Amino acid sequence: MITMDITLLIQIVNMVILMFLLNGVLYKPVKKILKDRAERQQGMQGEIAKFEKNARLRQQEVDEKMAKASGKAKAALDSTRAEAQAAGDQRLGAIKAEAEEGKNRQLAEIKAQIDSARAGLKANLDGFANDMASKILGRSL
Amino acid sequence: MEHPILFISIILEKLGLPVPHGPVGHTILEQLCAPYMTYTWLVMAFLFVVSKLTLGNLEMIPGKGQNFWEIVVGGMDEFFADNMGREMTDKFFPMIATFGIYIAVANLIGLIPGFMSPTASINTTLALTIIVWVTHHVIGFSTHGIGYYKHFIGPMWWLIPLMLPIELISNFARLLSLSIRLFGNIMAKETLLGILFMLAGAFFAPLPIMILGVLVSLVQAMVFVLLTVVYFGQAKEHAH
Repeated sequence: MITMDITLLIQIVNMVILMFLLNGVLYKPVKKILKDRAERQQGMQGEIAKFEKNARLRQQEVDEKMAKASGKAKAALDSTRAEAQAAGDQRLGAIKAEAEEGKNRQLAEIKAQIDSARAGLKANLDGFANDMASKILGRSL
Repeated sequence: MEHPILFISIILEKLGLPVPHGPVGHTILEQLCAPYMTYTWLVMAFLFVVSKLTLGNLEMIPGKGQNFWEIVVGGMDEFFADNMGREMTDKFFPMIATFGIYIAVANLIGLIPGFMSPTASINTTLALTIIVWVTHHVIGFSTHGIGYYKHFIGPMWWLIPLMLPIELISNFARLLSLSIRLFGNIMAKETLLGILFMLAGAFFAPLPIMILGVLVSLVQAMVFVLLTVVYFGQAKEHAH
């Protein structure tokens, strides 16, 4: 059974031929497609990284714009609030002044009326006292 | 012990070609018509045709056939690169991968009744082994030049008388171990299957051995490839 002959050399040649055949029809095409796919995936990875970077930059831009707009809105709100406050204060001051003036005027009027009433009463005081004394005494003085 | 029926041998006999009935042919033509030769050509043709048919139209998204070959070729490529380095793999991939695929198919084909494993002949396994053995020395000499002899003299000069014969014997033993391991396993499988077919083929007696045969066929192909990779890797490495 263990006999070596010329077929040993023929088998060596067969194997060398098979190597070349399979290299041509099997290994090279499969390795090429594997390499192409790996390169394509690599390229896609690059593209994904680019897209991610773009998205990040866009987000940053949007965030910056939002921050700027928010600042602007806040400033506008603050200025409007200050204006409104000033206008309110001014109006309130005017109303207060007007009210004060009205109060003072009315107080003056009341004081004048009191004074005039007092003067009137004072003027009638003697007659009033005589009338009372006459009524008490029951005879005219 | 041969298979009781070998289809190719029957066809060749019908064509009037001299198929040897013993294990050895006497004339050149008889030797060429020996079953292990004809079945080697069958395996070669099978591998070529199947590769051609399954890889006719390569696509970026692979179909079934392309997917199978991508797994086989990609897996082997990765395994070789892990063990021998990328440079050696690119150089020797066609050789080692061919051995792996050829041995696996040649081993498995013997499990089909009417077919024979070409690897059940020492001529086939020795042919593969000689290629591996010569190549690993070529790698050694081309990498280290004349300094390759350091692989055989051991770590210290005073150990040379002991180490040199051991290393030489162990190196030449690779020729025997690689070829006879594969040949012995597959011939045993073939012989056992042949006997069981003849004794109780109708009662499915060979079935358990056929199941074991699948395992042995694949394991032997893997062992041959693994040892080849190890030998190539060792030849490339620096001597200790």
